[in-house]
Amino acid sequence: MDQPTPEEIEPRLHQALRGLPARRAPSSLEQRVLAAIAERQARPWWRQSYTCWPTPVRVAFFVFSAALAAVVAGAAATILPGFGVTAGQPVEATLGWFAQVRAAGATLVDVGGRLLPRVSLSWIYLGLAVVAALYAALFGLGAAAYRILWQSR
Amino acid sequence: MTPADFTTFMRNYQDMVYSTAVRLLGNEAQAEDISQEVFLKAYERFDDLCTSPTAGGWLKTVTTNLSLNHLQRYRKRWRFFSERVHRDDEGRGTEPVEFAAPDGDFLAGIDKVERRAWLERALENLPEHQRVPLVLYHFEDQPYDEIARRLGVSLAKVKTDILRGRAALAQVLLRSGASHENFHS
Repeated sequence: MDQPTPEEIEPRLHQALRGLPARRAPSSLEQRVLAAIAERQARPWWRQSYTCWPTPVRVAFFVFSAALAAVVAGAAATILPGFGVTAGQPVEATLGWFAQVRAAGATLVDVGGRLLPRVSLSWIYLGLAVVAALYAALFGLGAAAYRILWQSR
Repeated sequence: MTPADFTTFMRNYQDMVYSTAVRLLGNEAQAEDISQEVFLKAYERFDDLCTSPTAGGWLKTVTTNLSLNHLQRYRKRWRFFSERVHRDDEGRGTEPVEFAAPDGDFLAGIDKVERRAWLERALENLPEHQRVPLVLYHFEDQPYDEIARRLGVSLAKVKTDILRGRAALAQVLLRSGASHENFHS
């Protein structure tokens, strides 16, 4: 028997495919959707999307976010060298703990800088190898979990 | 809007949404998840959709987009581990994919309903890189270049994959007794 050519197959297969009736949705779908809607509606407003929050709360959140952004920008001005030194001084005065954090960070960097030259190169390579092995193991575990838990669904 | 309105709306469209998703994804559980996501999105804008004459088209578009996103997000990420068989298939020639078939006596008496079931199953069993463009072309009426753009592959690959997918499905139809009616008439 001759095999049909691709030109013969296309229109007839198209007809056959388009003739397929819609697959019946599982009976559980409707219940799942309604349950998910009910669960969403039962959530408190602060666990819903921002657009669903009450208007006063949305305004307050916006003002608070803007104030927080201003504080962060002011703090950055005090920490980053050469950036708005004069303007940053009042902020630094009110946020004294920033100076302590900065000092602690500087100490850590200093200690690290003194220790690193004393560590032999082989220890550094060993450390990198351990990190790479742990990363590969984590990746493998993730893949195995995907195949077992997700693909078998 | 009442819950009853939305339930009626969902009953009208759930088979279409589920069919679109399951044919693209080739997996019933994932298709149900995507269908649920589609109807939750529909619920968020049900005030507009309930009176819209294009609600069906909107649902189909959202289903297609979510299904394609799902495939790209999850399947490509894990292809190395989970789809080595399908990758091997890309290197084959133009020979059709072989599907398991029952013996000849059974085929001789196969009816239309069974043939449809065979076709659905064959479609579901196609490798993803053949099934997805084939479904977009034949069910969604999308042109080759649009499919290539959406899937991020070359036009030549889309045409080749659809050609091979059709050949595989035609093989199933031939085996299921459709040859005299559909392919050699």
